Amino acid sequence: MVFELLPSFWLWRELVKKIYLLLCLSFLLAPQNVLAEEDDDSHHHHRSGAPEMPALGFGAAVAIGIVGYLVLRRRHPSQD
Amino acid sequence: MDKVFTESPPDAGLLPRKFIPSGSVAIHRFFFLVLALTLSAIAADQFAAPILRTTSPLWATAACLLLVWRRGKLPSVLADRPFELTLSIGRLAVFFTAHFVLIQLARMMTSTLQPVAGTHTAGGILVAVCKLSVFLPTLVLFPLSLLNELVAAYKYEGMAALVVFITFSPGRAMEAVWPWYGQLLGRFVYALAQLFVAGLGYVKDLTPTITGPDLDITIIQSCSGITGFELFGYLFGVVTILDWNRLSKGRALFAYFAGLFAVLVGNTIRIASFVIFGNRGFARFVLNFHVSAGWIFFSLVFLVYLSLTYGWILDKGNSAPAPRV
Repeated sequence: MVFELLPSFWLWRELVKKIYLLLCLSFLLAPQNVLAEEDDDSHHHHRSGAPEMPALGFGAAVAIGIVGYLVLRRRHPSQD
Repeated sequence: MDKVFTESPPDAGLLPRKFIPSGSVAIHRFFFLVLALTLSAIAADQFAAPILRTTSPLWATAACLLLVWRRGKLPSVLADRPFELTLSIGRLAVFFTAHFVLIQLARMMTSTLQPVAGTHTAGGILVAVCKLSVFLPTLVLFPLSLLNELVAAYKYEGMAALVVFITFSPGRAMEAVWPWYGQLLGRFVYALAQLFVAGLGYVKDLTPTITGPDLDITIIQSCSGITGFELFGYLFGVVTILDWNRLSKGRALFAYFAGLFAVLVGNTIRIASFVIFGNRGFARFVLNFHVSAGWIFFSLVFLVYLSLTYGWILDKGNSAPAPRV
């Protein structure tokens, strides 16, 4: 027995699109598994292990990147 | 009174008729549904059998799904061929049964394989193979007679998914190459910073240290640029999804890998700047802000790189988006 792809699936397409867009954004904005490196001040010199970075910095970087890209995109409009 | 009979048929548009989608629409629907089923099944596999957990198959399938959605109607000869693509109950039954069997096998072997998961042993390889086998049941959903057409229609989306699958979680690869790459990175940083700061030293170690008059910088594995890779991947992914119908696919692929290289170069400059500023009176500032500043730096690297390449990777001859279904 064979059934056709459900037409109702097509009717739900808009909803599916929105759900996956939300999923995509949530993946994008999910905090990374980060660990802060401890500073060791026990020596005469400061010591710094560079970055495992907190989610705040990551979120800001993503926001800057996306806004910059959207600005760039407006300067290259599609030729409809 | 004369009766008037018309022999002309009513408007054809008013006749009841069966909706037969064109080849373009049918293939698009079919592939979208197969990908959605695959994504759901993989997520269910990993939920039911935690030993199968790995993000790459999920990312790759989700990326392919989004690109197929963005692609919309296929502007190809397939659009002129009306036919129906169907998912038979038999194929679906085999698909779900295969996933069920996979889950049961994985759960049965969990206690045996869990200790060796992620190791470079035969058991570790077996676990990795099991993790990748979540894609196998999807093959039964594709009718063999149309496989070539499907591959031809969605080769670019498939290649993009493969790139995501291979490169989106590069942590393990970086872990493997860190012993020599860490030295390479440390040497480059030292050579670069030496041009601006006198009295620097280099301590060779698995985590090399650049010693200076005011600040010593130890380059740990998480300084390898792996976080920059990830940020670049996310942002380039957004660009790819939003501009998929405008991109020259070959150029975009080249730009992606070239961008990863640019991130590595940028990371070298970033760490060198910590050494330079840290030993030029800004040690406290570097200690306080190097974490957040690192992310912002990688974001700026991405924007500079994109501004240089964006016009090039757009396909000028195909910049009008494909009509959406």
